[in-house]
Amino acid sequence: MFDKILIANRGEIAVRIARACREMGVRTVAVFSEADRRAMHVRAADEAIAIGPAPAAESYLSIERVLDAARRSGAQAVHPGYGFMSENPEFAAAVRDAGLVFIGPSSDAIRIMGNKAQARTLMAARGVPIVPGYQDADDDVSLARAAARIGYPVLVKAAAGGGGKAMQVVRSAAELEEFAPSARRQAQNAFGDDQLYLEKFVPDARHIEFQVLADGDGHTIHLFERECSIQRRHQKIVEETPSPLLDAGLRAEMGRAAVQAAEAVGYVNAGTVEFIVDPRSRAYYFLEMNTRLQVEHPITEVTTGLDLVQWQLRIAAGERLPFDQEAIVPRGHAIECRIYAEDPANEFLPSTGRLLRVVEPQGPGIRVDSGYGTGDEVTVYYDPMLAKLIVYADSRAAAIRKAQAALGRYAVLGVTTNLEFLQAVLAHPEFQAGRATTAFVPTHFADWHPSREAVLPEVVIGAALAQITAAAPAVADGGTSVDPYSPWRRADGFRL
Amino acid sequence: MRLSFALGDEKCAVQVDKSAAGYRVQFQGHDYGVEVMYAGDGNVAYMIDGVVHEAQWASDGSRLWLFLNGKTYVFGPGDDRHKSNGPTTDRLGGGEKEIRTPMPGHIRSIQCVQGEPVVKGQICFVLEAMKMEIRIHAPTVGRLDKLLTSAGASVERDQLLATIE
Repeated sequence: MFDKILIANRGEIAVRIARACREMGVRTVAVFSEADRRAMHVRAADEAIAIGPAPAAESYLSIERVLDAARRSGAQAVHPGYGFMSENPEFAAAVRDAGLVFIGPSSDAIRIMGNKAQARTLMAARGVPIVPGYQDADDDVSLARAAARIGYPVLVKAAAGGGGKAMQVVRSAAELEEFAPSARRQAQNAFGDDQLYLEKFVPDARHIEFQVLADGDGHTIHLFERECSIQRRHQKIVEETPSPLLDAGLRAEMGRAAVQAAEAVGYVNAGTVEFIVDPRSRAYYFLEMNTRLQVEHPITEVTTGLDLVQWQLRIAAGERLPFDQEAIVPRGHAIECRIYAEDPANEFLPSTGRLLRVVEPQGPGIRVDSGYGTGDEVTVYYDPMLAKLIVYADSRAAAIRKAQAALGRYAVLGVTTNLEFLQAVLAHPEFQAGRATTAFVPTHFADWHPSREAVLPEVVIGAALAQITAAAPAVADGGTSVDPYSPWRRADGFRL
Repeated sequence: MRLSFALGDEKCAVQVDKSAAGYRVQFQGHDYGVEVMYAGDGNVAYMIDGVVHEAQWASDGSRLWLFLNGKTYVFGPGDDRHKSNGPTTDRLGGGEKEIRTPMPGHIRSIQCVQGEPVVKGQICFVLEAMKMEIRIHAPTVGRLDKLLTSAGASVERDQLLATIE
């Protein structure tokens, strides 16, 4: 095992990786931009190195600066986390060229799966079902001809894309003609590659992905699925496992397809194969493979009992997977809710500022993977995801109730969050029934606003008491005691 | 003592009086018996006529954030004096350099001098309200630039007492 690794990321995932390393006795090196000097991920590491100014392009996205930090720190390996450079084949290659271990797949596997059009071709050749579509010559005439053949609506996507950029549902030839040039421009700007491809648009689909794990000997297994249909503009919000849609037969079949997909590129380490599933026909199609750790990996961890980050390190260090597919038996039900610093009442715009107070829920079956705590600053520079709440219970209904109770005890003060929105999602009958598709959020929450009922007496009384008691301790103890159990902190018994 | 807040566009005011068990609170024509069970570090647990509540709260100087039963409320100052200053968010960031009153009362003593240095946490004012003495600390290190009150003065909630530069 490594003695020391560098974590080329920030926020909750860097904290989570540092935690896994600490348990394994591996020292960690954090990298940080100027905006993150005192960030939680820096505090979670054993060492920390500044890598540049706040904009990610000059820090977390700089191969040169991250590699330089890795060399200086004496780290033997680099964990890329998710986002940033985790799916950049040049970064993976540069890490290896520097004589370090990249904790992830080969740069070839990243490159092939990174080009979505190429990945589709490969998957089709290997017998993995793909969404009917078109991924060849992408001039306007060829695209229009292909779209007519597939049948509208079609989804126009950037071959090098992801994250919903340069992606649009097109409902007619006229719309295609209008959108294609702008999609090419957007794709060029976002990914440096203007190649487009088409997919048949499956409305009301389910987004279901499979976690895979493969060692250096090519031993590949899957760790079952995650249902990720609760999305807003292709951004996942709530994920769960197992999927309420799959039965044992379909689950096993899709699991095999996921393993096939990984094997097709000689995949090593942890990865995720995404499918869309038509809930009516129950047909499933390969969508893409994410060649990295996923944000929502914890729900797989709590149901399988495996620490995915620790397995990533072990595989990267050359260990073999000691278990076969049959040994993986998931138990219970897990749900993840992503806590974003954003304002659902204001078009989900990111909100920034200082977190005046954060109180995370606790209890059996409750896990919070957080990147921010009380006093931390949420800046404009990075992703607005603050934390993930992961709950685990023996059934789906119990897991939903646990998530609701946990959200009800999750205080984030100082910055507006989506906590109430998450509550509304969990309470919705469609979600409760396990029927939610990717259309769920746009259909039911297009104009969602936090409920504004009449001001309750306990709320106003709470505010009044906050003010009165804030001032009270100074009266009795002279303002010097920090002991929370001091009798002088009791708010009753004021003196004259 | 009367405390007023603004919650969005809505104004609300409560009358709080000390009672044998804790407080009597009047709100919207109703009378509530309130007992505080715990208060400290942004956490206040209280019982209203036998029903237990626990709130988390924090203040950024101009706004009070309160989390109760799964909902977050952001209170602004309730008096009209602040209306002319525009939305409360305009004053964000200014809080560190200002010393303001947490609640209405009287300035009992002043323990800082205009033009002299202050250290963070230093007691600058003692406010008397509801038979309590409330020590008001310097939020930051610096020099006391303007002293805007005097001993014995009657002050309102969120009133500016001094500025630090």
